[in-house]
Amino acid sequence: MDANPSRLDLGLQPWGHVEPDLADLCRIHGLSIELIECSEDLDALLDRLLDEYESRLEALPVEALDPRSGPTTLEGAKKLRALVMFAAQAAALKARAEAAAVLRRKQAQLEAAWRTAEQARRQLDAVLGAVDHGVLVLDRAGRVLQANPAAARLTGVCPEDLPGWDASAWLGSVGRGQDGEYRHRRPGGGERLWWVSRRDLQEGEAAEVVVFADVTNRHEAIERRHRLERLHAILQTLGVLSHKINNPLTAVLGRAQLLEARLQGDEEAVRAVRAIAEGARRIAELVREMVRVVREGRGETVEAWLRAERPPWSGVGDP
Amino acid sequence: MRIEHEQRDGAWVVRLAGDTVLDAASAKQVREGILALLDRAPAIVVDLESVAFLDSAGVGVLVSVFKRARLARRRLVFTGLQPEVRRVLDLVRLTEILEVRPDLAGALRAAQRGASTQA
Repeated sequence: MDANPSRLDLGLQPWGHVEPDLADLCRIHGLSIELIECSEDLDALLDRLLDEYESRLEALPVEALDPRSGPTTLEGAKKLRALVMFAAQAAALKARAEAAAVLRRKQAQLEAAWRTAEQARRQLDAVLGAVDHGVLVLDRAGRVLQANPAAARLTGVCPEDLPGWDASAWLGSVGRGQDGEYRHRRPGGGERLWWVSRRDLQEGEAAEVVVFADVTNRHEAIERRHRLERLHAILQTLGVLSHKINNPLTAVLGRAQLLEARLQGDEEAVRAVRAIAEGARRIAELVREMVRVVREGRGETVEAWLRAERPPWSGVGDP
Repeated sequence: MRIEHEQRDGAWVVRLAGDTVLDAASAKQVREGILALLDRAPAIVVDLESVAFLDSAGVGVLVSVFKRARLARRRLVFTGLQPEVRRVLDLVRLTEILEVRPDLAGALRAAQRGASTQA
């Protein structure tokens, strides 16, 4: 193939500068408007560019691209020049449209990511707003960056005052990364028991998250339960004791009556036997009370019974 | 000029064999041969390695099949450009408008990307 690169590369050179005529200018102007109109749609733009390119190519003389000859007429050179100029502009337009499409795609991705993040944030806010536990996000100095409504309610600090609030003072009692109890004095008075969990964060300026709950009521409930369990044990013991005491006591009372009948005439011995019988009856009365308390089975009754003033035991059985 | 094709990695690789010139004489046959494959292939790689020369009719074939592939929502990628062919396509700026890759592997990757996104 007898290629003549210099002629092909500068194929338009021998013909010099070629001015487009008025009809060409009008057509180019119309095409420009069309291209601008579809510049937002890369597919439509490329389709229109290819249509125009193809029609210009078809109008090109066959030998125009032949390196051996190049365009052989002024008209051919003019058309080749127009095609090359159009192609250069089309390529630039395509590149810009592609870049814009990439930007639009990236922007759409960013917007979608932002919407997702915003949705996640709203969900998190809703969850934090709904929970009873106080949640505080602290910076490295222990100052509050973020707080949920429960945190404001539990601390007794106004929600607007919480950001910047120094939480390090009361967090000292619970080690970083640890769980523990803290007795909180509310600004308005009163002491509450908190269960506090501290966990480290590695997100920007946030150093840790503190989750805390008022466990005062739960603590009291547990205490009450323990007390009731102790009372229940006492009731059981009383029940067993009553049963164990009753049998020998009945024997003591019965024998005392028999003995009293046999000892008639010996006044001193009779007094002693009567004292024994009186003591045994008091014990029997005590056992009956114990049985009543056990049957009622109420902690308050047991406590009242245990606290009740009774005749001194030392008197029982004294002659 | 004959048109041969093979399936590779989800794309059809089309090769022009026989004549080394893509001009007015072979343009119609090549155009129709490639267009006939367009309906069946999810993506096409046109390997021009055996084409040593093309004129404006040959260039028209490339533009025409590229257009039709776009209309048919098929990815069409050119590769294997000989120096003379590249010189002509560079002159008329088609290397910036058509999908052209320097090697077959790159062309296949580009074609597969198109096939998967258009599926």
